[in-house]
Amino acid sequence: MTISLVQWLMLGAILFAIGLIGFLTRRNLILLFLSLELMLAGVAVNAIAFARHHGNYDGHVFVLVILTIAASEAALGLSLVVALNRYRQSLDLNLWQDLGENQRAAETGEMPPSILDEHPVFPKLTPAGLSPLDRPLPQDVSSHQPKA
Amino acid sequence: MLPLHPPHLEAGFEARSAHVQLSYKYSITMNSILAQISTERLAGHWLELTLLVLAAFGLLCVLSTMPRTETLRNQAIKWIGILIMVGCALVVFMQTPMRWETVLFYSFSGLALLGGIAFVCSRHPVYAACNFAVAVLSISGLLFMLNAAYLAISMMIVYAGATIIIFLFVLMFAQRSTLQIHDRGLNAPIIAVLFAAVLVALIGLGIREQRWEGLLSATFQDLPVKSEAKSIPDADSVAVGQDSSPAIGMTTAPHRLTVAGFGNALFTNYLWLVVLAGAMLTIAAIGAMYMAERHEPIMSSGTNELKRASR
Repeated sequence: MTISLVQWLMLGAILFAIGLIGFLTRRNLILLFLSLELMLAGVAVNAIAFARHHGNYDGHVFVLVILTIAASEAALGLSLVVALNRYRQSLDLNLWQDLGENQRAAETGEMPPSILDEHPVFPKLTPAGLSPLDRPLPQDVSSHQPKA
Repeated sequence: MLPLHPPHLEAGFEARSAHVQLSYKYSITMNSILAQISTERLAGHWLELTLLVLAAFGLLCVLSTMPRTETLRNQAIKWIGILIMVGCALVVFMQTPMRWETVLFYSFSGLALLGGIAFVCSRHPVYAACNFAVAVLSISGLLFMLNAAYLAISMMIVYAGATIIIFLFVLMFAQRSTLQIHDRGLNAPIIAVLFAAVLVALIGLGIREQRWEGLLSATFQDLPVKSEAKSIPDADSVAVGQDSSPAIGMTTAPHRLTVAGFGNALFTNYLWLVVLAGAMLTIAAIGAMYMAERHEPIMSSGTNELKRASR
């Protein structure tokens, strides 16, 4: 075969770079995950070319793990996308810029109304600490039953 | 008794270690790095660097017309970008001698790169997903060329089958109207393309500076199939203590990679990995089911309990 290892590795690098461009530029949340899969495919080409180069199966095993991780990542990422879509009714990545720096949230222009504005979600805290002293301390919280 | 370094790899190791020693002779400072990236060394790769810059420029031309409307000027810019990229591919294709495997490799990899670029540049997300499927199918064709038939088929099934369908399903579930504003807009395309081009240039220089010694230059038919009796450790040899399976990462002899050999390697040396992958898939499924569930947004049970307790 006249195709050397260098060409396979360059192909993997270019596929990785195309996926990187897609990940950095696109604004749709689902297309971000597809770009990630393209980057993983570029890495898979590299690993299998090295397996052919060395004549053993280590690269194949790597690629099998990559496939497994890609499947898990797709499942978790899509459920995350569905949960995010429920709050803002949009798949736009830039609507979640307020997770980062505060200054950049103003660049996105109009923000659609979110149900987070009306009903803010507070972190769920376990009951802990002392009650105020002017009322009697509950001795055991779990054994306290509401009056029937 | 297996040799620690097989002879066909030993020469490569020596050459590489000499190469590494040569590069470690300098202390790592900025000046030494700049001295290594000299103009003479870069001049050896002038064609590749020019092609890379041209292809990045063409991709940037196509990307920059994405947010705008379809006027004649933008169409012209888009087609100029496409022609530049096709010209770069043709120059690479004409440089190599025509053989059957070369033609196959270049058509598959050209199709993969075309699908990837069309995936990045297409406005409609459904078309983007279809272009991604084209890219993945041609990548699996490339994996067939590398004797990885099982992985090629599983990549077809997992990526082009299951993943694309689920992505399209979520896309149509979540985004009902066809073309949104965020599908036309891009975040910083110039910086992204520059970053990716510099990354490819650095990776390419690193690859070209290495000396690769290995089996990839051999044809398919030259390599004998590894015999089944050697690759499967039967009960007798294990009982006597002559384990015929090689140590991890060591190559015994050049042989063709087969699906049966991959199964042997997977279920002997890497059995723990199969178990770990199954556990990871189970955990991911449970986590996905929990995260996609609709939770009550306001009051948690803990605060209710605290209210009851302090009443």
